[in-house]
Amino acid sequence: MANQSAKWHRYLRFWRPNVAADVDAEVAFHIDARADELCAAGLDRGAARARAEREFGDVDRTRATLRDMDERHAALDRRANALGDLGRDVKVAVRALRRSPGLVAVVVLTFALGIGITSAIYSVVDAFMFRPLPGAYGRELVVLGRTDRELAIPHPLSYPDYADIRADTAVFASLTAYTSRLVDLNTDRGADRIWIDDATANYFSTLGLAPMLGRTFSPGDDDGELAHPEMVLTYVAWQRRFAGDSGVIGRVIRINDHPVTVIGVMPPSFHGVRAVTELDGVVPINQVGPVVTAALSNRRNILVNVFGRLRDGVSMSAAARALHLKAAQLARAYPLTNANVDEMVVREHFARPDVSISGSTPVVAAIFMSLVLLVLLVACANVASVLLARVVVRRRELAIRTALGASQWRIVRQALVECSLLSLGGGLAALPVTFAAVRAMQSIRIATDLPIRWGMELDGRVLAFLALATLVAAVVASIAPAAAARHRDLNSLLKASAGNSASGGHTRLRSTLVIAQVAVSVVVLVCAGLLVRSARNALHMDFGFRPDHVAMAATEWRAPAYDSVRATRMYHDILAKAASIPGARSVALTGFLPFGFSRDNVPVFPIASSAHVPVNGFNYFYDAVGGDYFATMDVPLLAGRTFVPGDSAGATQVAIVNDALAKALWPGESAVGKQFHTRSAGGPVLEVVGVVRGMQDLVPGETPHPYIFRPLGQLVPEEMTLLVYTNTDAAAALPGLRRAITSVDAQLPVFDTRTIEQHLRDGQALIFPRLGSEFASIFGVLALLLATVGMYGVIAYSVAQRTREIGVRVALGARMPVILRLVVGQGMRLAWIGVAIGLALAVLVAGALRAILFGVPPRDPLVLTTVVVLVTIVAIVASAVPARRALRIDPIRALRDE
Amino acid sequence: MPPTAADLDLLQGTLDVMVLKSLSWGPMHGFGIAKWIRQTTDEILQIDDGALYPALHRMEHRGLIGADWGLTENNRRAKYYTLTPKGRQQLRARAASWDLYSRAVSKVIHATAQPA
Repeated sequence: MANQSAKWHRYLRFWRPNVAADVDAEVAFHIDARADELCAAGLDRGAARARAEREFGDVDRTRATLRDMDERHAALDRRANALGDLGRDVKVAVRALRRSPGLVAVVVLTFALGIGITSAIYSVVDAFMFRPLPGAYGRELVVLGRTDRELAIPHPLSYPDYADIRADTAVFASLTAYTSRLVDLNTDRGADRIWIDDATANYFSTLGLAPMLGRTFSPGDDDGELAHPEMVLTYVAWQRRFAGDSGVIGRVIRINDHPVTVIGVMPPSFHGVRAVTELDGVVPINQVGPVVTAALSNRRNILVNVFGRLRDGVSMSAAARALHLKAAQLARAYPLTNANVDEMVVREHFARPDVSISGSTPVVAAIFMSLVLLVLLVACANVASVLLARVVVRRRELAIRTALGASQWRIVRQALVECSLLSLGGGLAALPVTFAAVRAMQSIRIATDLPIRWGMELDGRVLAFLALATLVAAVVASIAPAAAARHRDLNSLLKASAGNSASGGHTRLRSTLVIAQVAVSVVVLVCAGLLVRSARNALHMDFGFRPDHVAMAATEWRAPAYDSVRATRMYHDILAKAASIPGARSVALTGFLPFGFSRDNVPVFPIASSAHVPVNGFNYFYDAVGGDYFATMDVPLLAGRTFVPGDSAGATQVAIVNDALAKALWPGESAVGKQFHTRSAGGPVLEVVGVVRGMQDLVPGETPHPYIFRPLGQLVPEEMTLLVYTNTDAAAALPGLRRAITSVDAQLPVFDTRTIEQHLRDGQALIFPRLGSEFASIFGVLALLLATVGMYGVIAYSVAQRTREIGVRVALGARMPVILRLVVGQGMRLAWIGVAIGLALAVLVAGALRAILFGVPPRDPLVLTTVVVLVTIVAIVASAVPARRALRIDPIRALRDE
Repeated sequence: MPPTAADLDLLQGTLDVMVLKSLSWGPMHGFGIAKWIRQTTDEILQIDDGALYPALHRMEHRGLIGADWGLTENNRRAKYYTLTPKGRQQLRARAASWDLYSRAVSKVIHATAQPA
C-alpha cells in the first residue's frame, strides 16, 4: 500500500514537487541502506534496523524539519517562477501595445475618465456617508433627534430633554449636546466671524479624541454660566487665525467682547462633528456670552444637537426602545411641552449633514453611486469593445502562436496582461482627472459666510476606491477579449469572420449599447445646453430689483456694546459715511436681502379687510430698511410715500407693503392708510403709508409674495446689509463700504462683502441652475466622449470582421466613396437612431426642468440643433478612423488571408 | 571525548565543509556521505546521521549542491547530491580559511611562550 502510494506520488511530481513523499523516501532509504550494511556485518534483521534508527537520531523530528524546510523553499521557488513568467508577459504586451499608440490612447483615456469621475463622485459620497469622524469612537457614534407627531422631520432636542435622557437612560455610554453659532473673534484689526460649537464638557471624550496641544474640557467645565470661559481651537483655526503659534495655549482672547482662555488645539483631522462646515473652535455651553440659561431650561426651545455612543452590547433597536420609553415618560411629566414629542436615534453617518434628512441620505447616496457605477460600466464596455476588435484583427497572429504550441492559458493570459496594463495606465491617468474633479468641486462657492467645507478629499480612502475601481475595470473589460482569444478552434473564428453566424449576436448587442450611449449623451447634452442658456438668461432676467451696480457689506451689533437706540444711531452714521463713497448715488440698509439665505415672517391680522383672515393670521415676510432703500434697489413706488426720517422709534408705527400684499388684504381698494395688527389679533398696530412693486425673493421667475417693509428705528435688526448704488464698478466700491462701517466703530464685524451680481450668481437665486448647468455640462461631455469611443469600437470591430467582404467589393471595382459610405454609413445609422431616441427622451426630461429654465423653452431649437450637429460630427470622427483602415485593405491580401 | 553541546556551532560549519568535500569526487546520496564522513574521521565525530540531512537540504536551497533522484547499484531509488560550481568555490574558500584557523588555534594550544 505504502509503496503504491509512493509511486502515485511520483506522478504527481510532474505537476508540482511532492515534498512529504520525497523526504520520507530519502530518510527511508538511509535507514534501509544502513540496516542492510549492518546485516551484512552479521547483525540479525531486527537488531540492525533498531541500530540504524538509533544512529539516525530522532527520525520523526528530522522528517518534520526537512518537510518544513523544503515546503518553504518550494513556495519561494513557485513565486519566483510566477514573477518570471509575468515579467515575460508584460514585456510582450508592452511591445504589442507600442505598435498601436492610437488604441492605447483611446483605451487609457476612456479608463481615465470613467475611473476618474467615478472616484471623484465617490469622494463626495464618502464624505457624506462613509468616512467616520475622527477619534477612537468615530465609528460607533449615534445621533439623537426629536420628532413631533405633527412634524415628521427629526430636529434638535431641547436641553432639559437631553439632560433627562442623559441622566436616566442606561443605554448610552456617553451623550453630548452642542449648538453651533457664528461669533465675533475680536482682534486688533476689528472682528472676525468664527463658527463655534457650544457643547457639554464631554464633547471630546464622547468622540475619544485627544488634543494636539494643551487640554480639552474637564468634567464640570459646563457648570453655571460664564464660569469657565475657555475654548479648544481646531487645527485650521489655529493655523489661520493664530498662525500656528504654540504659545496660544493659556492666552486670553476676546469672543463677542468676552475674555476667553484658549486651553487646547485639536489635531488636523478634526473639523467639528458636522459635515459641510469648517469649525473654528468649541467652548463649554453657556460659558461664553450671551448667556443662554433661560433657553437651557426651556423644553420648548429645540436648541441642541445630540450625539453619543451606546454602551457595549446595546443594539440600536434597544436604544430606540429606551428612548421611546423615556419620551413617553417625559410626555406624562410635561404634557404642555412634550405631549407630542418622541425621540429617535440613528447612526451618525446617516445623519449627515443634519439629523433632519437622516432618512434620505442613504437613498441619495445609493442613486449617486449607481449612476457613477453605470458610467464606469459603460467605460468598461467600450474598452472591451475596442479590445475585442483588436483580438479579431490579430486572429492570424493568435492562430500562428497556437499552432506553434502556445497554450490557450498562455494566450488568454497575454490578453489579460494587456488589458491589465491598459487599465493600470488608465488608473494612473485617472489620478489627475480625480484630482482636478475634486478640486473643482471643492472650489464651488455659495454666497454665505458660514464656513462651508465640502468634505471631499483626495485621501487614502478615495485612492483605495480608485485602485478598486481600476481593478474592477480591468477584470470587467478583459472578460470578453480574453474569452475571444481563448476561442478553442481559431479556424472557426476565421470562418465566422465573414460577419454572420455566432458573432452576429455580439454585434447586435454592442450596437444596442452604442445606441443607448448616444441616446443618453443626447439627453444629458440637451439638459446641459438648456441649463447653460437658462443660467445665462437668469442673470439678465427681471427680478423686480436692480441687478447691477450695487455693492453690499453686512455688519452686526451685540449687547452690551449696543442697544437698539445706540444701534439706530450707529446705522445712520454708517449711511452718512457710505453716502460719501466716490460714485455713490444712493445708499440703504436692509435686514434681509432678496434671494438671501435668511428671512423672517410675522403673523398679520388686517383691519377693515374683506379677506378671510385665518385664526393665526396671515404669515408674511417682513424686513426693516433704512436710507433710500427703494431708490437704491430700483423698486418703484406705486402709491403713497416712502419712509422719511420722521418715521422714528417714537412716531406712529408705519409700514410699506408690496402690491401682492395690498391685493391680498384689500383687493380693489387703496391700501394706503389701512392698518393691521402684527404678532397677534391684539398686537401692535401698523399703518400702511406706501405701496411698492413686489420683488422676487425665493425662486427666480416667481410671482412676488406679500411683503412688509418697516423703517429702521422702529425696528432695529441685529444684522443689516449696507447697499450702495454706484455709477462706477460696484466691486471697486467694496473697500469703501468696509471703511464706512469700521470708521463708525472699529469693533464692528464686516462680512458678506460682494456685489449684487455675485450675490445673485453664488446665492440662492442662481446657485442651483448654475451648479446644475456646470454638472450637466461635465457629464454631457463625458457621456459624449464615452459614446464616441463606443461607436469607434463597434465600427472598428465591424470593419475588422468585414475585411473579406470589403476586399471582394474593392476587387469587383467598388470605388473609395462606396467603401466610405459603407463604413461611415454604419456609424451614422447607429448615431441617428440614438439621436432620435435621445431627442424624444430629452423633450420629456426637459419638460420636467421647465421650473428652473429661465427664458428658454424646453424645446429650444438652438440647443436641439447644436446637439444633433455635435453628435453627428462625433459619429463621423468615430467612423473615420476605421474607414481609413477599410480604404487601405488590399483586396488580394484580404482574400488570400481568408 | 565526544563533543559537547558547546561544540555544536563549530560542528555546524565543519559539517558543511565535510559534505562539500565528500561530494568533490562526484555525486553521492545522503547515506554515502554519512558513511564517508564516519570512516574518514575514524568515527571520532559521533554525529547523528539525522543531523546530516537538514544540512544537505539547507545547502541545496542555497545552491551549493544540486539534488536529483537516481538509482543505486542495487536498483534502489535514492536522492543523489552533486557539487555545483558555487559549492566548489565555497569548498575552496572554507578549506583555506579552515587551514588558517586550525593552524592558529594549534599554535595557541601548543604555545611555549608565557604571556608578557
